[in-house]
Amino acid sequence: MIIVADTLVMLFSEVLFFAGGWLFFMKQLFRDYEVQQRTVQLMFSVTFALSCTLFELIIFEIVGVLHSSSRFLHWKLGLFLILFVLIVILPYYTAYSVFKNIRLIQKHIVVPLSVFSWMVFIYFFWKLGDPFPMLSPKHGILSIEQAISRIGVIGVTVMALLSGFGAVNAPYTYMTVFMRPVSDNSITQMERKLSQTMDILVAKKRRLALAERERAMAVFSRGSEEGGLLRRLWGTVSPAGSALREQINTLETESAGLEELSRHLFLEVVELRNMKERLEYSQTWQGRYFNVMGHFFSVYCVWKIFMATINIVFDRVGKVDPVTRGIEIAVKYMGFQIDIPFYSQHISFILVGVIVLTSIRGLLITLTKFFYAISSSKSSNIIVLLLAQIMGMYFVSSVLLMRMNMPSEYRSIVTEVLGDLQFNFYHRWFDVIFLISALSSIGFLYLAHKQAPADTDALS
Amino acid sequence: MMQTSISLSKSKTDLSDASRDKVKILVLGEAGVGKTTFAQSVKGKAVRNPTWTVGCSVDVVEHSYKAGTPQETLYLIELWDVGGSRSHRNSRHVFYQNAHGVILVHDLENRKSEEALRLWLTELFDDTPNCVNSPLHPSSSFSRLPTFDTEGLAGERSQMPILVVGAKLDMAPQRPRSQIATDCGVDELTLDCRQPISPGSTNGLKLSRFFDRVIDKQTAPTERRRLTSQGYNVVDRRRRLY
Repeated sequence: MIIVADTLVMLFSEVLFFAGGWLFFMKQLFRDYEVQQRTVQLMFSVTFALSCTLFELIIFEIVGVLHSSSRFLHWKLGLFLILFVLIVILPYYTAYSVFKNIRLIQKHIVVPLSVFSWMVFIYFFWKLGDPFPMLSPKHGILSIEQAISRIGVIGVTVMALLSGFGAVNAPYTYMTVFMRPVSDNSITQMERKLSQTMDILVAKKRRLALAERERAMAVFSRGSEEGGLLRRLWGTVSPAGSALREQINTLETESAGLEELSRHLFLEVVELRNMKERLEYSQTWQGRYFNVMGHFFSVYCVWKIFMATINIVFDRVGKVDPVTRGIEIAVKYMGFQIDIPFYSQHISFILVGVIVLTSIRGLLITLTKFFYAISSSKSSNIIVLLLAQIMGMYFVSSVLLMRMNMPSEYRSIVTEVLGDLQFNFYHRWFDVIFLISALSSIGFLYLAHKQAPADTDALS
Repeated sequence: MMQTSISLSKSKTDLSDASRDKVKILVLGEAGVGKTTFAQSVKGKAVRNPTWTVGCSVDVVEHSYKAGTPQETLYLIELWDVGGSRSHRNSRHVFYQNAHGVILVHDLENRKSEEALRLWLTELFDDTPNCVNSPLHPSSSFSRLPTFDTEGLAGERSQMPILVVGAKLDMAPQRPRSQIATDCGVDELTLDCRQPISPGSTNGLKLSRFFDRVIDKQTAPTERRRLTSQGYNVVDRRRRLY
């Protein structure tokens, strides 16, 4: 009876998450495109709903909602479902969509080809486990642990890459120290240069059109008046004809050069205007707030890079989670008399809740930006499927890593359900990839900053 | 376009006059709808795999104004194919100056590209760029656009000829006439841009009529018309630009 009531609660929340994913897809992701394949939207929403269910179960674990045996049941069920979606359904459907869109492939080969490529995917997915010290051999081949360990590696890599880049990019974007001043004059000058280039280009194209018309007429009119093949050929190779051809070739090369120049100038105007908008934004209240936050973020970023290096160099493994450590410090060194279980529960609830919400929001925003940048009307469906796959793997691995942030009495369920994984390995792997990602982002942003167009007004 | 030998000699003498007149038509629409393919097919060339247009690419096509009548003259029409990427929105206004007509292209497969055409018209007739690119919000470039105003647009419409083109007909053959063409009361072409436009077909005739209307507006004396106040301002601006 209890199990039925709990299941109803879980089902209700899952429907809520499904609706949330559906709305996000329609309003944000597919803002510019018409949804023609509802299946894609369905899969995205299902992946999102299952991931959110996992987070919800962690929170229920901390707060103590629902019966513990039904929680365990739903854990197992949710994990199994999301693994099934991530390993079987999404890769197969992605391969199927790709092959369906390629015109050269006939209809009856599409399905066998998709099944074949799915098997190739499974093979490489399996091989992923070889170089990493992941499992103890006592578990069987088709256990949840095998699948989760591999998904964990991919997901942790994605998490660390995004985290490293985000930690470096946030202070760079928010802080005004990095923004170059742009005067209105330089923008107007650049725009004027662009208009002038376009005018010259148009004049050349008009001359080109007239020259081509003359050439067409020369061949045609001579042919229609005298009607001989030889005469028509003579028209093209005569001195007058070849001079015309040369003129056309010159005009064509000059036009191509001017077009390239106009594109370059246009992109410079875009960059100048973007920088000006950023400067204007930083003067507003929101902008100033983010500027201050940027200073905190840069300190946080440096600290994280430092800690990652220390962890790797000294092979340090954190045994105690921050909540318990914080409470320890409060009790021992500051002498507060507090009710440890009560505070431990509430603080870890708040901490885990904040982490869950910010990671969901952060990932959705990143996915949206990514989607807008690379999608076109033809590839939008396939890109959404790939993004759904990444999202699922990301959320599963964040459940894995979140274990470290919880006190030991709540860790047990995660350990029990996820099995005998080497959790320390995943933290170490996160640190390594985070370090690589942060350092290369710093290098990349430094180069991009150097190459930004200089303000010509300031130079003159 | 090929003509008979009679009009050849006639238009050759008129060439030097009419070919100096600037006739500029903008080709606008969302990214990837087929503007570049359309401009090339008007010129008579087929483009197999066009790349994203960055900035603006110009094509010059010949057009016989009032073909088949004694007043037939040859004009050189510039088609300015403006790139539709959203991230370049703040700088596109450089290309919009001194335009005499506009062709709006939408993708028949994607209904949202047709709805976006209203925003394109608003962007065109409201010359000042006023978007704030917040570093956080992914879709902020459209958050500050003025809302679509049918009356103002109808007023402006009477000055600048508009043609609506639905591309990619081979992918979606069953679409009805688009809403914006009905709202503005203008012609609409639906075609597969990879096929050439033959001059005698319906599409060819509509295109020819549109070009004639643009040339009429460009060379007509600027008379005072009864317009809304917004429309009057646009006429004023146009006269100053000339």
